[in-house]
Amino acid sequence: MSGLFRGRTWWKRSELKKSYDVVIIGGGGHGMGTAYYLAKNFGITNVAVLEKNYIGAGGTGRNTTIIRSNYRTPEGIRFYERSMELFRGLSQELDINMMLSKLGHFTLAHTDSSVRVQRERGETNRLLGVDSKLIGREEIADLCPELNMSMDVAYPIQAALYHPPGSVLRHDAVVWGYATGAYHKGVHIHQGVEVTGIRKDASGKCIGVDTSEGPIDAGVVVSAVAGWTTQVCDMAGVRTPITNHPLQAFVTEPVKPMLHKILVSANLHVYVSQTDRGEFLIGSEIEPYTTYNLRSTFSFVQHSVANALDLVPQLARLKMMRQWTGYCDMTPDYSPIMGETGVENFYLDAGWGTWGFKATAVCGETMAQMAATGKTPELIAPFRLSRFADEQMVPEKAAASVSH
Amino acid sequence: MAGIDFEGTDVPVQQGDTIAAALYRSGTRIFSRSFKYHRPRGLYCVSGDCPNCLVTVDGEVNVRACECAARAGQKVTRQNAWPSADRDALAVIDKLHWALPVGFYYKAGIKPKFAWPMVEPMIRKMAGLGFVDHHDAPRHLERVNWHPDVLVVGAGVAGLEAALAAAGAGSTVMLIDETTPGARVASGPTRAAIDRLTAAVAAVPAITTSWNTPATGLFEGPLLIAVSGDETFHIHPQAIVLACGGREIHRVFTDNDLPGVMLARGAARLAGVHGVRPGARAVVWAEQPEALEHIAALTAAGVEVVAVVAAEGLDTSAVTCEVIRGEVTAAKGRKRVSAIVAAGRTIACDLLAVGSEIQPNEHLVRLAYDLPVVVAGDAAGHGLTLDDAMASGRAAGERAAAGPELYAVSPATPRTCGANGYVCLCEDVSVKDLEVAIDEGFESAELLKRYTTVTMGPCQGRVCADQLRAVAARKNPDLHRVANATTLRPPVRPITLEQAIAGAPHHMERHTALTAKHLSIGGTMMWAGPWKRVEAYGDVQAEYRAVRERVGLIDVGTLGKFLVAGPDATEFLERIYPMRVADLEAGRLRYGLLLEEGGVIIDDGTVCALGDGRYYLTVTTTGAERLESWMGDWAEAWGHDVYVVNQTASLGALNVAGPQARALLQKLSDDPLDRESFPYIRHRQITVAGVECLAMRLGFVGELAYELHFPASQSAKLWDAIIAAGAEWDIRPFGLMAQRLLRLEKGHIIIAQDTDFETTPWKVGMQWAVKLDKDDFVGKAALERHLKRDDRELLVPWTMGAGTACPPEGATVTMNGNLAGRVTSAWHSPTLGHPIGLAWVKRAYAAAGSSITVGGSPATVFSGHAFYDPEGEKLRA
Ligand SMILES: Cc1cc2nc3c(=O)[nH]c(=O)nc-3n(C[C@H](O)[C@H](O)[C@H](O)COP(=O)(O)OP(=O)(O)OC[C@H]3O[C@@H](n4cnc5c(N)ncnc54)[C@H](O)[C@@H]3O)c2cc1C
Repeated sequence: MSGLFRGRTWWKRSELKKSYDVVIIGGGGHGMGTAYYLAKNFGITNVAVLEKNYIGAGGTGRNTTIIRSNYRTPEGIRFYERSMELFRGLSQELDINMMLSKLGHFTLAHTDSSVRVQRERGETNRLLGVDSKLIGREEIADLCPELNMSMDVAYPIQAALYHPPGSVLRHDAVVWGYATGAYHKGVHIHQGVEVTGIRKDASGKCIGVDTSEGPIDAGVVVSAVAGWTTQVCDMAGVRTPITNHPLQAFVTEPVKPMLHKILVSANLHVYVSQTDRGEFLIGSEIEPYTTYNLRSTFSFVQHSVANALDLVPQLARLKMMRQWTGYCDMTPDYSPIMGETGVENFYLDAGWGTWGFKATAVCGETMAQMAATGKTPELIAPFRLSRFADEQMVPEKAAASVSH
Repeated sequence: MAGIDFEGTDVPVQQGDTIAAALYRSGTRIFSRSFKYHRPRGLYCVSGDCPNCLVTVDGEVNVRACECAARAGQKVTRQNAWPSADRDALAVIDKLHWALPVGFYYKAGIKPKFAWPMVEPMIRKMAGLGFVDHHDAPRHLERVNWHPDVLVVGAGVAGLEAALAAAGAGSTVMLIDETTPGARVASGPTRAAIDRLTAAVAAVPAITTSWNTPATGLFEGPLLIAVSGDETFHIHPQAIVLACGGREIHRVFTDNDLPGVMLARGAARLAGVHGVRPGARAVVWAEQPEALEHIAALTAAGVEVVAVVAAEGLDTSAVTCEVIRGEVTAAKGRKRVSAIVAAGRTIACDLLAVGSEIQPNEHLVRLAYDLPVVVAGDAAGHGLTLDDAMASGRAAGERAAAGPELYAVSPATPRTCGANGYVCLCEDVSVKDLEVAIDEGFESAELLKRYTTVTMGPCQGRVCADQLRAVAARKNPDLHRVANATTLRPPVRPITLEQAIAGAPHHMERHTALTAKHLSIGGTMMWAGPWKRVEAYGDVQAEYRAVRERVGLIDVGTLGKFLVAGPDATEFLERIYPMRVADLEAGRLRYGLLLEEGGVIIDDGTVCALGDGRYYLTVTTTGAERLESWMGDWAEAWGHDVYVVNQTASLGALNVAGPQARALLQKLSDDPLDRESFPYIRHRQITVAGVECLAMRLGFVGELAYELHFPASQSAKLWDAIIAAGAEWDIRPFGLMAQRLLRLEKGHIIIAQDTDFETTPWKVGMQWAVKLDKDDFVGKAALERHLKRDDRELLVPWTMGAGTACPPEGATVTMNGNLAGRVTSAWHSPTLGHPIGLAWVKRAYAAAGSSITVGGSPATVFSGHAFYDPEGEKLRA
């Protein structure tokens, strides 16, 4: 229990240098993870993470923290499964309790077509060694007695894809853990420094960034800004098919924990879990419009609550405590965009939409490898930007639209 | 019980009591135990801001006792304590602060690796306040929409004046308040003004008032949500005046959370409004003049005010008791205050009334950015005099009536915070905790919030957000670059989940005119997009056989139906569809795919040429709504003069299918139906049983079939006539299940079941439905690009040997144990006697005749298109 009863230094401010080997834009989990693995796996520590706000201010600090690997395509499953593997040892590796809570994850199916899709996912998952299967009504009721199994509702539950390893963990702890790990290996963390331009030489090669604190040279620049990707890509002159949509969530006041599973319903566009603090965490799918405005809406509340109460009606008289909004950098196939961009030495980690938190660990690992070696790691090769022009998409919509 | 049932004790209730007032009068001092350390907590703000009086009322958790009206028979229990809040066994945790350092949860339970999974369930048990009553189901509450010109929130002097001024300027006004006017204000000049203005407001017909109506959130629109008893208000004004007042700032000093430490307005409310004596001996801490006014209310209720601790410079000439200049630095006592320390002196008392600086109630204000909002009274500037507040209200009312600019939120005022004590009452976060966290690296307010959970409890920062900023700024004067404030989020007052959905009918279910009939003859229903359709009438096999062998009838009224007309209709459809339309002669029809710009199939259906450049279109059941606007968008984009009329709901449709379909219909119609007069893929206007129908000869189920479209009002009449006429062939109605099997035997795809968002016509072998030599159509450019590449996967038909069990839809296709595809449709074919289906298969294994493994059993890629009647003789009959 090192450092339990005394204070510890997580990180301190560093002097902003004029030049770094690697500059990482974005102090979310992905950016911090990349910095950490650069230092740990490659001994590259002349690294700066530039964060325009405070660390974790973006999707990392706003998401509903579901991690799982029961995706649809082999490419997706392999990738997210590696992340789960890293997450499982992360608390020990970084000496920070990430509060990984292996609750088990239900994707509920209320229509015949949804049953078909969930069966397909379960079968594919099992072939690739992921613990996931379609279960029927009785088993659902056994595993989660709080769930409303009545046939007397608009969309009775018919079956569920059950994924026992599906977990939640503390989102802040992940970014802080990587930050402290990176900091103690020599990485500089700069909060309140905004990147305003990508600098290129005459040949079009990326040589650094412009920031609110002046220009900085860099051997390699990694953009890990998720919901701000369209802005940073504009600076670099890189075209992506990303559109930016708001995604909302809310929590209720805390009550004694009673729901010990993560519930997702694609048909009802809602998901529900209860945190270790006792709050019910309820979310939905993205708003249909694109915007860079974070104002929350009441129509989101009405829709998500109505549907959540179909699943767990006994929450009717709980009070809402807080609702918030984040950005989602959506891709056409619901898979990420990673690696080369066409601009030499400028790498992208983007397209995280509603599903990127669970990828934090594997993204850190693979983007560090990319930045250190200049070669595309095999795990992320299917997610290359050029796949859209080549029509080689990695379709994950069925597995990633509501169940983040 | 005659009064409140308070944990088994009968507590008397007086007129006008809140639960808090009744309990306090009967001697209750500890109202809850704190979240983390189980410290005793008593009434503090008495205005719904702090978490101290959260209790469970009739099964509803976290009810604010100070705001909830008391009623005889109410069951009230305190929370987060065992066995009782008065003697809480877990209070020992309060002695173990050293073992629960800030950030404890992040630092503990890491090693060994198996520890956390064991500790976590215990932490879960300790979390949360109150239990959920497992039987609570949502009540149906009403939603009321209001559309005043001006909405005024808050009926203090500023709000009342604003309402009068706005009404005076000709606006209709709605005025709401979370209590009743003056409910929290003891008698005095302010109360007198409120009473006078309230009477004036009541006399103005243009002002609608609603009391006990807390505003919970402010959204774009503007839309303000407020809760009023069993109704939820959605208020849609042109402009809003926020006059939600101010409150005394939370003061932090050693043991500042002891019961008996109360905000002065709260103590005065208990004394002056509820007639409850808040203590026997009181010290009043006065930072502003209003605090001194409360002395009268306290004295009148029988409290002995022994001393006033007054800020430097405050005029205390009217104070009769001892005055000490300075600040309170500590409270003393075990379960409640027994003394306080100020300016080095210890003064015995059982009540400290904290009359601190007034800070604006800025929760709604901070949500008002970019909305037409004016802020008035104490909500705008703090510590206004009565006259200033009234003038500010009048000015705001006039500006709102005139149409205000969009509101810009100003940065929060800097505050100070004591050196010791509890900043956050909800989560037990002390000044020390924050300072340690800052030293550890968490410098800014947002990081401190997340690390220590300060501001994250039920009060959502009402009590503590300013002190949090103060501590961060004091510790780190050069805190640069990062904003030192937390973001305010709705709701600003509690709203339960059932209140949030008041009046919202959420699942719309569409029915055809025949649903009642289907149900009456044993049809079971299933969802098909927004529609409920018949799944089956009890026996899918019998329904199937009727169609194949005799005749069957299906309700297809859910199909999307459009009339397309206008000078550019032909050109429009040529561009909408990938097949040819212009060469369709009147009386002919054609199957058509619909593609999006990427060349991906989004829908399918038929086009009937009606002549004179008019067309009748059908699309899938789920497609109608989406395609209506989709077509509208294209017409707009191309500037076409075309009308797209959605007839989905006004027309009914029935499909009469099976070898005897012609014989049956001929019994009901004088129009010629024979093969020559009315051949396959033609449509005719015919009269069946006296009903005018557009009849189409189509082959989705693979038999001779007539699809009839007619006014929806005639549905039952036509249905009955066909069933009666079909009796001699033992006609059967059939549902979606039988239809899916019938179409699968024909190898027809169902959009969205067999296709996904990457499916181009080539991938499903339907290139025949695309004419790339046309000038242009939606998706053409993408398809041309697409054709330069090989598809990774293809949709292929497959068969299995007789006696093999049919795999379920969704099963995988494998090759040597490796994933090679997935099954989208699968049935045991009764006619062929073996399983058949469609599957996406990797290109390498997709050639006709290839052996593949489907759901674990051997299968063969089928070489044709239709499994049944490949030459299509039956449907041409
Ligand atoms: C409500 C909600 C629920 C979600 N639920 C889940 C879930 O359950 N499971 C899951 O896996 N995913 C979920 N997600 C998605 C997930 O949150 C994100 O995909 C993920 O956090 C992205 O992490 P990141 O580190 O890439 O980006 P972020 O955490 O967004 O970090 C990007 C950072 O870049 C900074 N930045 C931006 N522009 C600049 C600039 N010019 N200069 C410097 N810094 C800049 C931003 O301030 C930000 O801190 C959810 C998202 C939301 C909004």
